[in-house]
Amino acid sequence: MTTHARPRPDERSAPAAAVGAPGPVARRRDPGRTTARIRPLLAAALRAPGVTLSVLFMVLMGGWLLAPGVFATHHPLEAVGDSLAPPGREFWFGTDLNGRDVYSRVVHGARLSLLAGVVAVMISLVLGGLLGMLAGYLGGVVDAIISRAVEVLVSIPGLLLSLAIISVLGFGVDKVAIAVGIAGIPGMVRIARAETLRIVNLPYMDAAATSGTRRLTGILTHVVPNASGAIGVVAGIDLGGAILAVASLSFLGFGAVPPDPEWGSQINEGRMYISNAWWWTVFPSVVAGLTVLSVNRLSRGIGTREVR
Amino acid sequence: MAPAPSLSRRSLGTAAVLSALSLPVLAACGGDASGGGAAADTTVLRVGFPGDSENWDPHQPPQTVTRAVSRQIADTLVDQDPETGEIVGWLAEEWETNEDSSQFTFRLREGVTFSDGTPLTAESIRSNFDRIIDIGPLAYIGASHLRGYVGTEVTDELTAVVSFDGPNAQFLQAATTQSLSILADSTLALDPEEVARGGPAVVGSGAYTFEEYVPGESITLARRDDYDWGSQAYENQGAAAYETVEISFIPDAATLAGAVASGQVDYAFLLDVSTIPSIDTERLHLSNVPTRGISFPLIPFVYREIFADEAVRRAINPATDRAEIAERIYQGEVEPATGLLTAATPGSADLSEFLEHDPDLARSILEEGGWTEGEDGVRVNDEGERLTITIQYVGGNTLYEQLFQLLQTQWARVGIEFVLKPVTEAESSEYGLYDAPYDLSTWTQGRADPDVLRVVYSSFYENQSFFFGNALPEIDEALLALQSTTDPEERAAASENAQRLLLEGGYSFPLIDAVSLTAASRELAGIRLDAENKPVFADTAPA
Amino acid sequence: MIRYVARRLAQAAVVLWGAITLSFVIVQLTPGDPARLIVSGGEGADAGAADDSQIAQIRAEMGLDRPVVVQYVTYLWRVLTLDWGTAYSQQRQQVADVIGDNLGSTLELGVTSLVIMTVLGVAFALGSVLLPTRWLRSAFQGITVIGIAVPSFVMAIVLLQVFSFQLGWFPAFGAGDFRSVLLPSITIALLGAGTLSQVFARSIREVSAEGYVEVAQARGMGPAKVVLTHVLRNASLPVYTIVGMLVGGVVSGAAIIEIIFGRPGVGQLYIEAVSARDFPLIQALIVLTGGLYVLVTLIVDLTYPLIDPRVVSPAASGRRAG
Repeated sequence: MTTHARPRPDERSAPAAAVGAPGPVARRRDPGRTTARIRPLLAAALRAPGVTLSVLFMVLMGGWLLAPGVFATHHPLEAVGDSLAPPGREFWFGTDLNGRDVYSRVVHGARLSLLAGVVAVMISLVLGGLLGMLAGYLGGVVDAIISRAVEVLVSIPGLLLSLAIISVLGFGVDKVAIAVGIAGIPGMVRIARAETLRIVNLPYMDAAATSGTRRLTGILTHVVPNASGAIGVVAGIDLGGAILAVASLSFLGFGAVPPDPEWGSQINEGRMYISNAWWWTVFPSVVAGLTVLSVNRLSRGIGTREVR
Repeated sequence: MAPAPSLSRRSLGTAAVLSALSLPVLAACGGDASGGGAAADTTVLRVGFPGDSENWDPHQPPQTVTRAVSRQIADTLVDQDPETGEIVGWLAEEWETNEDSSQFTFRLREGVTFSDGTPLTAESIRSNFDRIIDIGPLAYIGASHLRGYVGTEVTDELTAVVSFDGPNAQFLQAATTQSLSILADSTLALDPEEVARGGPAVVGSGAYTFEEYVPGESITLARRDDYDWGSQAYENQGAAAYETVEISFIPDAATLAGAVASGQVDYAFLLDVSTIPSIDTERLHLSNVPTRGISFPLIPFVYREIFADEAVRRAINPATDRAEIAERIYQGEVEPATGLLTAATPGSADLSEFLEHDPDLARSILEEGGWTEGEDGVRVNDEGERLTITIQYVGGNTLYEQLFQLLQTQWARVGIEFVLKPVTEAESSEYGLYDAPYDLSTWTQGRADPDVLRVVYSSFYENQSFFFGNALPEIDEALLALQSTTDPEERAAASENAQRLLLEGGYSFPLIDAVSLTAASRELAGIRLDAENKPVFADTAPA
Repeated sequence: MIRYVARRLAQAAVVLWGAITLSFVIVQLTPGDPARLIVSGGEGADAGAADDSQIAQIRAEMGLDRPVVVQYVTYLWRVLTLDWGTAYSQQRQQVADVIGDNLGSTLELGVTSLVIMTVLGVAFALGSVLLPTRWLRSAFQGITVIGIAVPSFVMAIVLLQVFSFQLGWFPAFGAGDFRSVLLPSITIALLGAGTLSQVFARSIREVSAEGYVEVAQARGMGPAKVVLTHVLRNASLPVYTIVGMLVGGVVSGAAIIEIIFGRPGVGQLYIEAVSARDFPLIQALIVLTGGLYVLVTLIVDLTYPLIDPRVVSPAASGRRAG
């Protein structure tokens, strides 16, 4: 998605590539700064529906995360209706076995699920990124050790590794986040290392070295800014994977402590009733799925922009 | 960038048609998945069980699925009529009890053989009971039935006299359970571990033989054509109708229900309550039978500080709304508890007066006990400690978790904070019943006799009795009365008395009468169950 | 070349050792008393009467009463001598036997899943690149996304509900005949096909943009032929390199799918073992999956030059491919 040159406020003619924008002039009212700025943005947005929808959805998720009380319609922990009531005017997503409003629980659960995903990705990002950069930058024995250690972690499939870690740490969304984060370290190490190697091999790095820049400074000032683009993209995509991993661990019974309305545990609770109360499982699944999709779409969108 | 080469529309069309066809072809390849033979085909009865107990020795620990299999391959001395609760004959034609219920004489049927050809004699009875005592803790339920066992005397080939050192009124009913099944000598001679592995090593005199056990997958039973000595409680006392019974293990409850609903199995045992709505009763028989035994309870650990406090114990029952639990969690498919025994258990009593939902009463009990309402709604005592009750349980059981969450909201209304702590199986094994770091526990114990009260709510049996090591003398005494007489009326009175004491003291919080769910195809004449709600395949026939 | 192979093998051995050690560490850190769990074998009324002498006996047998370092060395030695021990949570059968009983079913599931995944992944990728109309291409792109966004158990439950219970096309449980492996395999395949097709599609586009494709087109080669002879072969390279990751995904997926579909297998065995803290079984399974991964990546690394002769073997070029 590329932006176009912003028209000056007094230009009434439509910018060259604003497809779908209303025809030039004709209107008598003062366009003002705002309208003229919005128009090209709107136009760009309409041309890339995927990204736009993703942004809008994530904004909504952000709202649910920061102010669930505003968006929820009922108290998430109280039994407010009949048991297993279908979706309707009063309960948008229906009710669960206890008669609690599924919609409100999903809204309040956003904080738990999204934060769990974010924490997990942060852990992978920081630890993995650090290790990867060290491996790439320092090379030699350090690289060998780190790379072998990463391969060891990779040799155990992610879910199974997280499972083993959880059985050590115990239940709770925070512990799940840690477990998923640790399982995500190898992937991050790889990307960070590959990027670092790429950057290190760029000609100007040699120049920096010869000009006497110390190693640590070298990493901070050169590698980190340049590598963070690609790493960021992967982190974004990993966020989706982290949310799914958290849900899978909940499915296996290692998730949030009741009555926390984390999405994964809701999906797990509802699946026993899928034939007569499909809404209990389906709505949290859809919301989680859309979140994953939006996050993926956005990271890819941002990624393409920077790489080009 | 050069455009990627693209397919012509024609080749695209062909491809689309081909792929659309391939999926059903793939499925049709294997034929009709829902199987199902022609009507009245009695070759195979396909059954679904909810799990593999991994221990198939009838005498050893009594998982329900083990007992269900044991019932088909082994017989017992006597049986219990599922409707009347009356003791009827099976391997024993007649029996006598002496005056103080310490000696039982059994006269066996003639002509009974084990599936390996050896005959059933009084000697077999002795060998079986002796073996149960010998393997000790491995057969702890059987051992508790035989408490005080002195020995079995063989007075003639078909007469055995079983003696105890004191009254043992529950023994007769216990003799109808699988823990006291009669097995062949060849099986008794093996190591318990070998017997536990199932298969042809487990030899009984039942209507079916144990052909094969594939761990984690299935069990196959084969009919004994010469079977002629079914229980007096059966309609068909001869050989079974179905030649083979194929039992598949389907641990996922929703899959088990779906399997019987779609005809992939003919019979599904121990369905989960939550799956009832998915059973179409037009196409399937659905048997929803209340279990016999203790009402499903939460039992407090009396050695924990919070429950050493009598006020707290006595406030829990009035704070609990059983009708709401039955309606929401169990979708109205179960009845609220009326006492410590389920209503269907012989010797049960209606003690609903103790189990009425009365939050005001709960609040006043707590207030009088020194618990005042705190700022966030949770009560505190004089020292400022919060009224917090914790439960620890193996995570993953949806129904229990939903139930506990409902209790959280119910008890919160009277100022009790109920904290849930799910753990892994490994963690839960760290503690037994007497050193738990949490405050109460669920429990299940099935038995069609009030004696089950004595086992669970006394201090007599390690790992089965909740007050072992923390005896409540008054209650122990009341429960012992259940042992001293076989007269049903006297035992019922003793049972009611004991239950009253337990409820007054707040020593148990019974919630609902659990049900045993079985579903079967309407190609079968019906679902035949025994007194413990286990399937009886020998008595199962096509419609 | 020999030196390269030897070096890779040495690396593989190090990784395997790392996996074994990791499994030991994890199991040591897990709370819970395995001896008591084995004796009591369950909870509630089904639990056995565990008496302390029995527990002590089991502890001694499992060597739990010896210092950690001794336990570690003993265990390394036993792995080297292929003595996998007894699986305490599986009726005391030998670990080797238990795994043997379950491995076949998982292999069947894994191989079938990979085959279907490849077919679907390639189909989706080709669809999203080659189809004539734009919205069709987008549709195929959209399908791949489903596999990535939907949790595995949700996919399994929905497919089970529709194709097994409603339509009756597939059985819902068991591992008896080939038919019973289809639906579980399709489930796992759909989940992985998304990633595979996205990588493949991107790769096709990149390769298509390269000069030699234009040349081939200019020389009059029909589009299909171009795709088949030039593009596919080279586009499959990046896909080939993620084979290891896909296999790992299949093993993970197998655990959940085996539980939902009631199939025996090493995936659900692993979960049981972790729950029960059955050391010998956990160790053996980790070594197994670790070994599998090492083997797969080894094969990929060594055969990569065969597929793409343009690429010089990393050993010869002396530079380690990132």
